[in-house]
Amino acid sequence: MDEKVILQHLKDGSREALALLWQANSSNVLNLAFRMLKDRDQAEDILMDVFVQVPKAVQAFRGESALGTWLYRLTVNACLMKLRSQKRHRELEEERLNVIVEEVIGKVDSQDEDFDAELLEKGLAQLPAETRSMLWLKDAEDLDVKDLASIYKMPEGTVKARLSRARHLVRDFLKERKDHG
Amino acid sequence: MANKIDFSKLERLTPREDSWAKVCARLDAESANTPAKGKIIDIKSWYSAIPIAASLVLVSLTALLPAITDGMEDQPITTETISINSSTPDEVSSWYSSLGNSTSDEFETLEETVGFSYLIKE
Repeated sequence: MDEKVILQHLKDGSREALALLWQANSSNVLNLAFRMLKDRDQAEDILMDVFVQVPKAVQAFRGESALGTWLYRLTVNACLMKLRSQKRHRELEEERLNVIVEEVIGKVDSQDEDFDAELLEKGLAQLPAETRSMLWLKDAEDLDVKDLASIYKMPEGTVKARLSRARHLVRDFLKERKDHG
Repeated sequence: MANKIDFSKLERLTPREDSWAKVCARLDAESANTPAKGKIIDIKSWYSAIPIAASLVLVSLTALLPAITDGMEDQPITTETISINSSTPDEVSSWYSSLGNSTSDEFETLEETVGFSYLIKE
């Protein structure tokens, strides 16, 4: 179904339209929330919170961006609010890092692959939640800089600079660990 | 982009099977707790009704007033003339009639007690 039609049905309160939106975007929303919060249960809570607020929030949505991009914006805002309410999210990330690696990556056949993925998780954990989610959306979800600027409400140049710094930081971390490992 | 970080080794999560059902349950609970719009008297809508009603009253009064005054004009107007001599004491009448006749430069004032008694009487 065309996105404009879905949007109109959503504004009319259609549950079927919401179900279509869920099918198309729930996984992306969940993974973005997980990248920011690094907690599966909290990410699921954010996913549900986002979709529960869609029927009301969509009334103010003018359709200037794609519905998926708009959902990412709702997700980032919801995650930031949660992180701010926790106030100690940096410490939380450190505490849960090992558990997360086990939960998300699981046991893989190749020890090298496991090592790389774990390192990557640790490298990502060095970044602030917002920058980490931005990097995830750009490099894993293939969003363009324009969409990111819309989601994070900052100029495209700032987005590019943040992405560049984030990549350097993660790569430097991986390189350093591998050299010492 | 060659510069990209490779996230392909990280597992992608999928929502739990009951998550959608939970979303639906929360939405149903919200809609059940929200009172129907029609049952609520929207006070704000009255804000525009009040000036409109006031304008209608003004217009109708403007239309009706000439008719009311015309009716009043048709009725004979009765007036009653009351002579000042019939209600005022002699002292006051004589003082009033002698005003301006004196050649004296002094003010011709009515004696206070006479004036007061007249006012009190009235």
